[in-house]
Amino acid sequence: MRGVRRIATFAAWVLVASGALAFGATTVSAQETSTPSPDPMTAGECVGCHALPDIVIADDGEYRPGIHVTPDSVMGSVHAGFTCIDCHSALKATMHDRRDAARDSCAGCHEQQHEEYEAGYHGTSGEGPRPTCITCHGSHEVQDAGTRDFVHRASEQCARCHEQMNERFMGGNAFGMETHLAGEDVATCADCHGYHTVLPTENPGSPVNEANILTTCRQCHTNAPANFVDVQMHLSEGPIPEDPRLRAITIYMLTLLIGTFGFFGYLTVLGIRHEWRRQAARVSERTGEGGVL
Amino acid sequence: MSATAVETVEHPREQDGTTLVVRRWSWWARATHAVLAAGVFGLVLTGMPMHYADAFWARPLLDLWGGERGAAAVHKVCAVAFGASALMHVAGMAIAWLTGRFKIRAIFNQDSIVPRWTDVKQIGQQIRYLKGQGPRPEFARFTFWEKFDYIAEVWGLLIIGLTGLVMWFPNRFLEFLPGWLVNAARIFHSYEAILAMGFLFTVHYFNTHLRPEVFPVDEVIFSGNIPLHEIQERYPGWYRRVVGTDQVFRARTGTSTLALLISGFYLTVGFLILMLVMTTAVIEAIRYFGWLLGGFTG
Repeated sequence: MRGVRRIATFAAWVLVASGALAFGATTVSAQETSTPSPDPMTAGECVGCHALPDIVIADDGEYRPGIHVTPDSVMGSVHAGFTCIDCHSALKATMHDRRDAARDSCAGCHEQQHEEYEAGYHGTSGEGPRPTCITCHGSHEVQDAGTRDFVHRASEQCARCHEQMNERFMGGNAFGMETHLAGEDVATCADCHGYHTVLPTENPGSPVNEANILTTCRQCHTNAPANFVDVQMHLSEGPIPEDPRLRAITIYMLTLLIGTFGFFGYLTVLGIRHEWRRQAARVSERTGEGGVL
Repeated sequence: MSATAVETVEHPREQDGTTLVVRRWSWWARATHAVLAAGVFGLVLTGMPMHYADAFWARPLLDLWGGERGAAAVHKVCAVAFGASALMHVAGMAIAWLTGRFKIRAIFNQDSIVPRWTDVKQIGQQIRYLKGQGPRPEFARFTFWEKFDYIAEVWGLLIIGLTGLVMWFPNRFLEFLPGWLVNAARIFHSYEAILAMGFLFTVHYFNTHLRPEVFPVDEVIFSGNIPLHEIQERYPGWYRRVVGTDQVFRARTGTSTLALLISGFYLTVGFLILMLVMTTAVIEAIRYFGWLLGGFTG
């Protein structure tokens, strides 16, 4: 009996102590989140609406992933600890305009990267939709661009617009295969084409321009001879390359493959049927019954 | 068990468990086959997941070798073994020739593994035989499909070996080869690999180890000896030439546990990887079928 009472006392003590601890913790964390920003648009107030899973845009009643922000997405990013208006700085003046995108806010801190971006095709091209910082880096969930995870996703990020090049990269060469495997030091799009300042191949500043490509290859393949640049990187969207010589080789090998397997497959099927009949004949001979097998 | 039937009537198994046999493979040939088989298995198990890198089985298979870097290293080691088996074969023949046990003109006789016009005729005969429309062809020491095994091995080794070297040492080769040949090398290498693997794990398996008479392993590749009754049934032409000669001797036959384990491992693993590759290849073919119909336009 005494043992039970002792356990009960201990349990009660644990309960009270943990309650006190929890109370203390909530008080402390409440102080931490509420004190730094006296502004009415604190994170807490924004996510009050924006964390709702059924949030829609008032104008058209449509849901868009970009306006659905949970505290988790920001807290798991490299910008954890930022409040909404740190990036959505125009919000204070415009009071919730639809064009409050935070694109130019990135430049506020990442000035150099912004300049690099502006110098390249992605920053200057007038035609069609232009990629912005968040197209590649993501917005609320922005991750460290130095991690392997980000680098491996990079080619998929490029392929969101350059769809054909993704197939031509992944299907046709060793880099593509290793990218599939998330290889440790595999080259992806950005390693040859550059990032932030991305220029068309014809531009003499592009790392894949005729004038620079050998240097680009030699970043990894030190001592690569001049012919190295003629090795094709983007063969085809499908299994048959576009280069007529490579296409001829592929069709030849496919014919050989289908021919050999067709011929020996036919012989093997005939052989199995023959063997089957022979066994059946033997069984019926022994038992005196037909068609046992 | 037709083998047993023939065995009891004409070439009975003696009380001491021995049977009349003929030496089909020398110990050197069996050693060469062992090196070749081990090399090819290592090459298939590391190369296929590299080629089908986006398949669901690629990652776990490569992790077996410590990731793609490890797999590439194992691939190169096995490539050396593969090349070594070819050298063993050539060196074996050269030594046998120098010591007088092998005559160059033997390459052209009926029991040589080198194809002859008779083999072409026997293809038609075999098809008629299997359909029950004719007698069994008078096969010599090697049937046409066994000769194809050998020839495919020679040409496969040349293609796969040379293209493999180009990809292993691109800087060396690109000093005198144009760049597109490296792309060509990769295409030749991967299709030849799929061809070789598909042939070995289906045709070679079915026609040697998986025949009902010898299932699950043709122990001739372990003992080197083929029972006379089996020669009589499978190689009638050769039988007429060896029966009654001093090439026939008595030896113990039967499959050892070790042979069963080794061949069981090779058969199982070979079939598994073949199934995985086939599944992926079929999915890929279906995926690209529409693209092919579209006239290769990219």
